This record gives sequence, C-alpha cells and structure tokens, in this order.
Amino acid sequence: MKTVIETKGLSKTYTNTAVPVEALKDISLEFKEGEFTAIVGPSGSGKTTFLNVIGGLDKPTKGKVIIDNVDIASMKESQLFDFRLKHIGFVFQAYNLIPVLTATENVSFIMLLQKRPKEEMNKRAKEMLEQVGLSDKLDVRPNKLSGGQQQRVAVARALASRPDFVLADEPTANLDTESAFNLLDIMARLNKEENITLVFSTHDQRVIDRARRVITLVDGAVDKDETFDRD
Amino acid sequence: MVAIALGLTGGNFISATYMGLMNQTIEESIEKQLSHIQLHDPDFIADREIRNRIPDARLIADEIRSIPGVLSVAERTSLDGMAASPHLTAGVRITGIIPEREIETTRFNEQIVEGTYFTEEGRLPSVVIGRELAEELQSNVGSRIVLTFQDTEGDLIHASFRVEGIFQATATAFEKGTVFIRSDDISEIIGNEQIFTEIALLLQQEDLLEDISETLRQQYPDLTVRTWKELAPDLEFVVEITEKSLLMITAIILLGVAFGILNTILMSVLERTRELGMLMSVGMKRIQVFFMVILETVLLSLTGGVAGLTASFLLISFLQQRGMDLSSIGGEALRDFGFSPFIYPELDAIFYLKVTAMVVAFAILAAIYPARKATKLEPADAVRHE
Repeated sequence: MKTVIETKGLSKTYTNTAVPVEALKDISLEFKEGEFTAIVGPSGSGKTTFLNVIGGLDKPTKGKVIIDNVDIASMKESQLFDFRLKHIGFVFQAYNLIPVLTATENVSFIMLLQKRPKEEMNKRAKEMLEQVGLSDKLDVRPNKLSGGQQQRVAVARALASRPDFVLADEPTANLDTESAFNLLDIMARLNKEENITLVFSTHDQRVIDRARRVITLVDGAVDKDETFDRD
Repeated sequence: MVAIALGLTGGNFISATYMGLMNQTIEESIEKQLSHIQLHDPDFIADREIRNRIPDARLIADEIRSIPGVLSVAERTSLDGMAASPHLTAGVRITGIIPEREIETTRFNEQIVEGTYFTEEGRLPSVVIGRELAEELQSNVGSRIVLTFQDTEGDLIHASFRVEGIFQATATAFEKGTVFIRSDDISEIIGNEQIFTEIALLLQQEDLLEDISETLRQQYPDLTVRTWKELAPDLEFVVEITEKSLLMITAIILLGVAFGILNTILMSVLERTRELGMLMSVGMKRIQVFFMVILETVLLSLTGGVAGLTASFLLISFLQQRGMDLSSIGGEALRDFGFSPFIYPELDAIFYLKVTAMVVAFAILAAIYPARKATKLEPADAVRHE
C-alpha cells in the first residue's frame, strides 16, 4: 500500500512559554493509503500539535513530514496554503461551517478555491451530501441543521475536493451518541468506498473502537501503535 | 449599514439645503439685481455719478439685444443719493429704470408686495422702495419722499416722489438701500436727454457668460464690461467654495461613519475567528482573506450607501418640488444675511457620484485595519478559538 504521510524524527518545542514545552518528541510514523487511524492520548499529550504539523498548519522544530514525496516542513507559508488546498481535507471539532452559505455552498467552497468548474462543483457537492445522508438539506443553512448534520456537512466538505487524506480533530466531541455513531458509520463507509485515508485525534472511545489503527501519544511521544481488524 | 444610510441621508440633506440656499441666492442676485453682465463707463466704477454716463446707451442696448444668446437688456440710471421722509434720511442707491425693460431683465415687478409697479401717472413721479426702507422712513404707499442726487454738473438736486410700490427682496440690505424710479423722470428733473449709466443684460444660458462678455469687451472697448462674478466676487467665492465645503462636511460625517464601520468589521472579524481560521486552514491565502474582508466591507457599505443615496435623493427631490419654509423656526433671520428663508434643496448628480466614491473610499480605509487583523490570525489557533 502506498504511503500517504510519513514523519521522520518529528519534534516540536514551544518556546513562547515561560518554560519551553516539548509538545512532540522524535515521532516517526507512516500512514498508508486508506488507513483509518485514531491518534489518542490524554490532554496535553500532543495529539492536536501532531495533527497541526502533519496538516501543514504548524511547523516542526525538527524532523520531516513527507507527503506525496515532498517535505512540507521545509515549505514556505504560501506554498503550504496551496498544498493544504490540494492535498488535505479538514474536519474540525466545532464544524466551522460558513453560516451564510447553504449546505451545498459550504461543500462547494473548497472546490471554488481550487477553481473547479461550476457544474463539477455542484455535482460533486450534491453527491457528497447524498453520501452523508443530507440529500434533503442541500439548500439549508447551518443554523437550521443539528450538530450531527452540521458535522456531516463538514465531512462532505472535507471529502468533496478528493484530498489525499483527511485530518479530523475531535470530530465527535460535540455530538450526542446517536449523531456520533451515525457520523462514524458514514466516515467508515467513505473510508472504505473512496479509499480515503482518515486520521483522527480523539479521546472518544466510540471513535477509538472504530479505528483500525490506534496510536497513543503520551507526553509528545508515541507510547503505542496498535492495529485492529474491524471487519 | 443603517449608520451609513442615515449618515449619508443626513449629509446629503444638509448639503442639498446649503446648495439650494446658495444657488437660490446666486440666481436671485443675478435675476433680480445684478443680471449676468453689466456695462458701465470706466469712471463710473469709482465714481457712481450721473456725469459718468454711457454715451449712446440706447443704441448700444439695441445692438446688444441682437447678439445671439442675449435674452434681454435693460438700460439703467444708477446713482448714489439720499432718501428723506419727514421722519428720517437714509443713504440709498437710486436706480432709474425703464419699467418694461426691467420686467424682461430682472422680473423686478414680481417683488412688489404693496402698491403697484410704475403704472400710475400722478402729479409726483413714482418711486418704488424696499419694505425695510419703508419701515425705516415710516413711509407707506402714497407717502411722499424726497430724493437727493447730483446732476451732470455735480450740483445737488432735490426732487419729491410718491411711493407707488413697496418691494420685498431676499436680502434685507437690498430692501434698505435701493430705490427705483423711472429713468425718464431723472431726465426730466435734470432737464437733459435720457441718461443711462448702466446697461444690464440677461443671457439665455449661464455658460454663454464668458463668450458674450468677451464679445462685448471687443465690441465696446471704451466701456467696462463686468460679469456677475466680477460684480459680486463674494457670490463667485460662494460658488467656488460651496461644493468643496459640502464635500468636506460629507467627508466629516463619513469619517464618523467610517469609525463605526471599522468597529463593526473588527467585531465581525473577531466573531468570525473560527470561520477565518477554517478558511486559511483549508487553503485560503492571507491575501485572499484580506481582500475578502475589504470586499465584504465595501459591499456592506455600498448597500448602506445606496440606501442612503436613494433615501436622500427621494427626500431632496420631494423638498425640491415643495420647498422648505424655515421662517417658523427662526429662518427669517436668514434674510439679514441675504438668504431666503424658503429653501428649495438641490443636489446635482455629480455630487451623488462623488459621495458614492467617498463611501467606497472610506469603507476601504475603514476595512484595512480589520482585514490586516484577519490576516494575522494563525489558522491552527483560530479554528479552535472559543
């Protein structure tokens, strides 16, 4: 299987604090195409920092993040914006939908930034909203959707532009059990059907129980890297 | 948006009122007092005496009447003198007119509020005086007043006149300081042929002013030809300064509004931190975020601007038809400064365009700081902003 993300000796130290904080310590990992991985660990273990660094939102102090044979850690900021746009999908804890846009427009938005043709955008947005079970909410604005529905729109948005992989930061943290299971079912299905590589940061056991690979971070270092057969 | 709309409506309304006031004053000054162009003997400018008359004035007036673009021409005998009633004596400008010519040029007859306009042929020659002067002299229609002025030899002449009419002008100074008599009566009193010291002409269009005045200068090199701008440089100054000062007033109002815009957009940027963080996380560049905030502000401001411009246009158009009477709220005092208390607000299309451009410019200026603030956000932190 093709390696989608590879980190080599990844370290991140925050120096803008009273005492320097070592958030990541020498992390070397590989993520294969189509993997469903949960990054778990207690608060302050470095989950979010790790996601930020492999998502090109933050730079490591040391080490490499190789995606598509390119070390994004050495990229300039403007290159990183382009790289994120083309290669990475994001799902955020707080959904972060644009309130004035409809579900379809929210899903199309990234494709709009990618300058995809309008027809393709609309077709793909509708297709993705159907995939997440929101075909009846195409023209509805986020404030008329439940939390679970909003997060499903966010998932559709992340996947619509066909990124190399999707990073999801605590995607179920704000959802009730039913909505969380519903979302996880959808993501698991899309992971299989579209062969999308999914990396979650979570401490939600419901997510952990679905993940085929669980990486546990403790104090910024990899404590465990386990693989499960969920089929 | 509402602030922009209200600010613009208020600013435009003030501007239109002021512009209307100024234009009315200028138009009235031209149409009822100055006319567009006046011709005099060069010595008359410094020494307003009858001896500095225009030779062959009637002939010249007839020639000027045939110049294309000239609407009407009036010959006048304008001189300084005194008006005396049994109660008081006052310095006045005596204007000898040909009544029918003056109607064509200054529509002076429309200003008569009591009595009649040179229709009577009584024992005493007629004089038409201003309301203020009538009050000062304690004279009414039918009262006798004595006018004193110099004849062609410089000797003082006294003559009795009967007040036939009383006029009301916009400016109280004009009412107080000007009397009108027939120029024929002046000729009769001084025992001379008809004497004219002034030829006044009204043009069909204001924009012919420079061309026709130049023609007259070439045609009559022995006479002084002056346009209303030279006759009343204060009015010319008013024309020059009015639009600039009104744009400045509007700019000050918009500056206040701009601070409101800045505050609103800054709040919006802070409230949308997570949204902006998401946009930058998924690949929207900082420069795109910057221009997005600017564009949003301009569109928001333009919406308010269009609402304000529409509201002010409707309000000004309505009042332009109806007029606005300020006399009940102390507007009568305006007459002391030469302005009418009855104002017809007006604003030209160019002013609206300039104001629209100013709205956009102020919106952009107001949006720069919030837009820069938005670009300084770190996407990783902004998406998790509480």
